Amino acid sequence: MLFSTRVIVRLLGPNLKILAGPLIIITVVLLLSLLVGKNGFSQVSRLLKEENEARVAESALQDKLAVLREVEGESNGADATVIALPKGNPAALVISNLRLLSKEKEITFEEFSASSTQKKETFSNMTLDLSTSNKDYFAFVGFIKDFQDYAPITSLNSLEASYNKDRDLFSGDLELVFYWSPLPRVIPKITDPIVRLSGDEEEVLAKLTELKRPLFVNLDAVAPKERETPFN
Amino acid sequence: MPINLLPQEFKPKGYVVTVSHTLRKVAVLLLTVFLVGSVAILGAFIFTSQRIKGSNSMQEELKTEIETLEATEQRLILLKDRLDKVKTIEDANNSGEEVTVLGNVSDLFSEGITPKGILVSKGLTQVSVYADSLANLSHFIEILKGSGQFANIALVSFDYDPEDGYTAEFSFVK
Repeated sequence: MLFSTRVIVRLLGPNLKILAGPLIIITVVLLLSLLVGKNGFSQVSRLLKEENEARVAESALQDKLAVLREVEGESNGADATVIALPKGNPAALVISNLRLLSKEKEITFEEFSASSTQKKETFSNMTLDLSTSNKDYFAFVGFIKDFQDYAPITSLNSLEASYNKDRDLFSGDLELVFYWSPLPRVIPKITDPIVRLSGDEEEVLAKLTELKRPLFVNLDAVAPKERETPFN
Repeated sequence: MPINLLPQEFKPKGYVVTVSHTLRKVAVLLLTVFLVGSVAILGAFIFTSQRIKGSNSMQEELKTEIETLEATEQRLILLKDRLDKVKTIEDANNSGEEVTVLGNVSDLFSEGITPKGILVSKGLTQVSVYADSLANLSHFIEILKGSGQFANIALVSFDYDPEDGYTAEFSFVK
């Protein structure tokens, strides 16, 4: 038995010896390939994903810069939009506009009251009830048409008017609404994209820039003036 | 010619030698493929890393340039904010169309027609008029019809009073 094992080892010995080298190399190479392949591919695919994200971010920044360069230095009408939709209650400006127009159209304000402030998420509004009287129907219609050409934007909610033959007067009851909204407080991240004005926005902007501006825009507080004594 | 002095039992078998040669060739081939693959992966790794680095530095440059235009960006954001809100207000509350209709009707008043009353609210424009004769009222209706400015004209009411004459109330849709 012992003899036969020794013979087998002897017989196998030289055979294994010449096969062992290539087999070890093949095994090591396969193991290394598995290791390098698995880690290498995952690393490269991660980098490719990162590169793609970096390219997208770069492209977004380039687009943003292009838009900003395009509008830089342009008088973009921001002032007109802030006057049209101010950050604070524009009741004084609206009443001033209406007074100015009523004088031009010879319309008398019988009564007016501002009420029911509504504060919404995006903007607030206030209703102005106005009773008018005048002689000329066409002047009244002109008043209705023209007050909408003034900034801040004021819209007509309802209107009821009738002619009184006895007094020869045209009496109107108008319900007007005006609006205001706080300015945006959050500046978007530098990486956030910015887009040009859409067609609709351009149209609204054109309309707003054509609005007549009120006589005054800011009601700044003025320090009391020193008055001269009239008895000197 | 070299003489192999080893006993025959230490000599590898012929087929084993052949298999060994084939395995050696396979090993060389695999090693070559492995080396080429490793170099390719390493190259891709270095190349992509460089590109990411370049893109990141470009992004930093762009950010610096954008920061210098911050005032312009703020103005644009403010502008868009105002315009969006004005659009919302106009869509929800504007009676501009009805006022335009009122103006158009008023421009068409003809002889013998005097205004009596107006009623305007969103989606509604009603105008009532006095007419001194039926002929003048008919003429006015003809003018309204012929103007082509209104999609729909409805006669809401029609009255006759010996003192005031004829009274008609119209409802308009542009």
